[in-house]
Order: sequence, then C-alpha cells, then structure tokens
Amino acid sequence: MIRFEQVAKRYAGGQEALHDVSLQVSPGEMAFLTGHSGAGKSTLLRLITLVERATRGEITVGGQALSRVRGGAVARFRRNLGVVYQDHRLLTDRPAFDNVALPLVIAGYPRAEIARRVRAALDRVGLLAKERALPEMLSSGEQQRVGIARAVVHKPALVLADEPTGNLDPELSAEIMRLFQRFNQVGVTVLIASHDLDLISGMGQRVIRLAGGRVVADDRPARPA
Amino acid sequence: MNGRGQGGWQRRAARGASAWLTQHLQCAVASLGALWRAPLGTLLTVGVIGVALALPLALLLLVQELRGVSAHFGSNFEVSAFLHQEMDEGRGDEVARTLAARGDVAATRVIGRRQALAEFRAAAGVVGTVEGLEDDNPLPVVVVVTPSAHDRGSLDRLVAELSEMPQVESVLAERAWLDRLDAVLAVAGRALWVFAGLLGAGVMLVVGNTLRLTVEARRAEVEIAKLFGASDAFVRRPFLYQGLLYGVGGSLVGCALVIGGTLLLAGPLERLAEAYAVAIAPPAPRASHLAALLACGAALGLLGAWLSVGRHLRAVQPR
Repeated sequence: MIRFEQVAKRYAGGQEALHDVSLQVSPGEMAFLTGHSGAGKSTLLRLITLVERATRGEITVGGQALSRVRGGAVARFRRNLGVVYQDHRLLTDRPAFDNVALPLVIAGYPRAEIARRVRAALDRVGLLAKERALPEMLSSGEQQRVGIARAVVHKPALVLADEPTGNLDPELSAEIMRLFQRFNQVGVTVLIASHDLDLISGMGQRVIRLAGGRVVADDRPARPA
Repeated sequence: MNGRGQGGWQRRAARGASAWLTQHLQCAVASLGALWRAPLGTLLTVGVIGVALALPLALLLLVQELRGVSAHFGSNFEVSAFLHQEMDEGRGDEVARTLAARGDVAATRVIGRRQALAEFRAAAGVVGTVEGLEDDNPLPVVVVVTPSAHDRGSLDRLVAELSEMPQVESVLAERAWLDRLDAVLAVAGRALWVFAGLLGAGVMLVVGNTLRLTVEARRAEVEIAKLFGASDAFVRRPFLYQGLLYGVGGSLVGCALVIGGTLLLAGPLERLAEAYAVAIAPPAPRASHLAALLACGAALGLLGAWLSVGRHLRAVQPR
C-alpha cells in the first residue's frame, strides 16, 4: 500500500527532515510511526498526503508513483486517503454532520447516501447523538472522534493519523486507538504517527521508529495465529 | 493480498451530470446563505454595485431623452421668410404658392401683418407700447416654410435660395443651437460608453476585493477541503457563486434606482415639456434595458470573482 524507496526530504530552509528512508506498509496492515518530535514522523505523513514533495527517492501509494501525481490529479489522489490530524482541523462553523460529510460532498455523492454514510460513521465513533453540535460544543476527545469519522466516512483504503491522541488523557487515547484497530480489522490500512510509546507498545502492532530522519527500528510483533 | 485494500483504491470515477448539478445547487444555496448571514456587508457591496450599474443606464436614458427632444425640434423646424415692408398679404400668398411647388418644401403658411401684430401683442404682454402701432403696423408679412428634408445641405440650400428671392427682406433659420445640441449629444453618447466601461471595471474590482477578503477569512476551510481532495473547481465554486450573486443583487438594486429615479423625474419633466409645447414621453427604462443591466451585473460579478478568486485560491495550500 505504501512504499518508500530511499526517500529524502530537505525543506526550503535547508533543514533535512528525512534521510534515505525505505519502508513498506502492506495493504490491510496497521503500523505506528514513532520517534521524538522532529524525528520526521509528520514529514513522512505529509509526503504521503502530497502536502510536501520528496527531494529524492520514490514514494508509491496504492500503486501510484507520487512523483507523477501532479496538478488536478493531486485532488483525486487525496480522495483515496483518510487523514486524522492532531489539531482535528474541523470546520468550526459547521456541525459535526457537515464536517463528516465533507469528503462525500467533495466526491459528489447524492444527498441521501451522504446522510446514510455520515450517520453510519458517526455511529461507529459513538457520536450519532451529537450530529448537530458545533465543534466548540464538543470535548477534545469528541472532536477527535468527529475527525476520525470524517477520515473513514468515504471508506478509504488507507487511513493516516498524525498524533491523533496528542491532547487526550490515556483512557481517551486508548479508546481512540481501539477505534483505529477496529477499522484495520475490516481491511483498512492504517498508519499512525505517535510519540506515545506507552500507549502503542500495548497495542501489539508493528512499530516503525524514526530518529533524526532515519528509520532506526522496525518491530513487527509475532502475531498469535 | 487483502482484497479490500487494493480493490478499494481509485474506484471512484466521475458521478455524472446529476452529481454535478447537485453540487452546483448545494453550492448556490450555500453561497446565498453565506451572504444572508452577513447582511450588512452584503448590503454595502450590493449597494455600491447597484449605484455603479445604475449610473450608466441613467445617463443612457438622459441622452435618449435629449435625442428625442432634438428630433422633435428638428422635425418641426421652420424657416421664416420676412418680406419687404411694403408688400401685402396678397404678395405673401403668391410667394407661398411659388415655394409650396418646390420639392424640398413640405408646407407653407402666411402670417399677415395684422395677425403678426396680434400675436406679438399677446406674446409681449406690453399692451401700452404696442397700442399705438395700430395704424402704422411695422411688422412685415411672413411666409413660414416647413422643409421636407432635414439634412444640413438641403436646409442650407433652401435658406440661401429664399434669401435671394427679390420679395424677401431676410430669412430666419435659427438652427445653430440644434446643431450644437446634436454635437453635445454625440459627445455624451460616446462618453457614456467610456463611463460605463470604467464603472464596469469598478464593479469587478469591488467584487474581486470583497471576495479576496472572503477567501482570506475562509482560508482554514479551503485548506481542509483541499486536504480532503477538493479540486480547484470545487473550492472556487462557492466564491464564484458569491460573485454572481453580488452582481445579480447589485443589478437589481441598480434597476430599482433607475426606475425610482425616472418616476421622481416624470412629473417635473412633463411640466417642462408642456411649457415648451413639446410632446415627448418622460424617460422610462424599457424591459430590455433592465434585462441588459441584469446580464451585465451578473457577468461582471462572475468575471470579477473569477479573476480574483483563482489567483488568491492558488496561494492557499494546505500545510
């Protein structure tokens, strides 16, 4: 699903965020990306969402070489992803329902189907009762669950999350991670950047550790059969 | 390999015309809603556009009205030939008959000396002064000629030939002011288009600048939409609809201003026309004028939005 081949990223300021990163995430896999802040976790995700471009190397996502995704194809490419952000990035003046509906509206789904899918997604994150609530009326954990519902409502094959539990207490964090795990169990490829080692070590998933822009460890737990 | 994974990739193709129409309808309604929720700003913008659109139409109506006046005086134009003092009405009739036979003369009539004095007395209202003139009437017989052709060349020729007739003392053809009015109207007609062009550019600038601020205010929203795969057309669309709505709203205000203005002017103009004994219709915008104003407003709003929004949205890239 995701393949990095000797990818390097140098920002315009000269800062080297990634050096020679090679890694692969298979379809249906769930993996954590960890490391201290500045290790390159966010940069790696931003390369996948095409917010940034690799300086060297080749990234392939879903069989598409990202260096060849240009212009209008960028928007079409992004419609295949579901992304969750640490700061939620919700539309502050729209209720939860509208926020979750965004990817479907962009893709041009009919109204009835949008309503059906949005309610299903909100139900899965336990927020069906709050579909009319504006983000500011929701707690931080609830806002993050709205963000997660938005990331999965269009049934993307790949879900990315950048520090999805950044501002949450451990109990809420674990709940959020279990949500991701549930999506993974139905076949969605999930890649989560998180520095919360305590939390992710207990998840029994693959952990890719970055340090100084390089992959320094890639631990795949032996899964019980 | 997991079937859900690769199989789900890139599976969404275009969803056809009905999805496109749905998106446009939703977008138009949402844009109207956005304008509705900021009534003061919307009213100000629409008001400015309305005034800018109303001015050229008002000027156009004024020029057309004056053209009507000019045409009225032009077609009722008469040449007065004053005969020599010693000639009586009989000679006047003779001259009139000769002139009436000419191809470039539509009609003639004779004002006798007595009649002329009576008219003069009635018009001058200076009874005392004119009273003593009864026995020694100084007014000559006048042959009033209505030309059949109104172009300058034939009029000049007619006046010249009248002046050369032995019975005629002098010829009065006060046409210079009409020519000047026509010249002024020609300039005004041209200035009108320059004026309209400038105000049209003004409308586009107003819409463009308003939408630049709107894009700035909704920057975060645009970034989020782009992160979730919104195309440039998708993020541009609501702003284009807003521009269109500003233009349409502005032209409705413009129509109202012009209609209101002409209604206010109708009464006084009618009295003015009466005073000059001129039968002209007071200015009123025709349906085609209002339709043109609406079309111009809509086009300028859309164009202003297009020019401004495309440029400003390109600058908004998700972080």
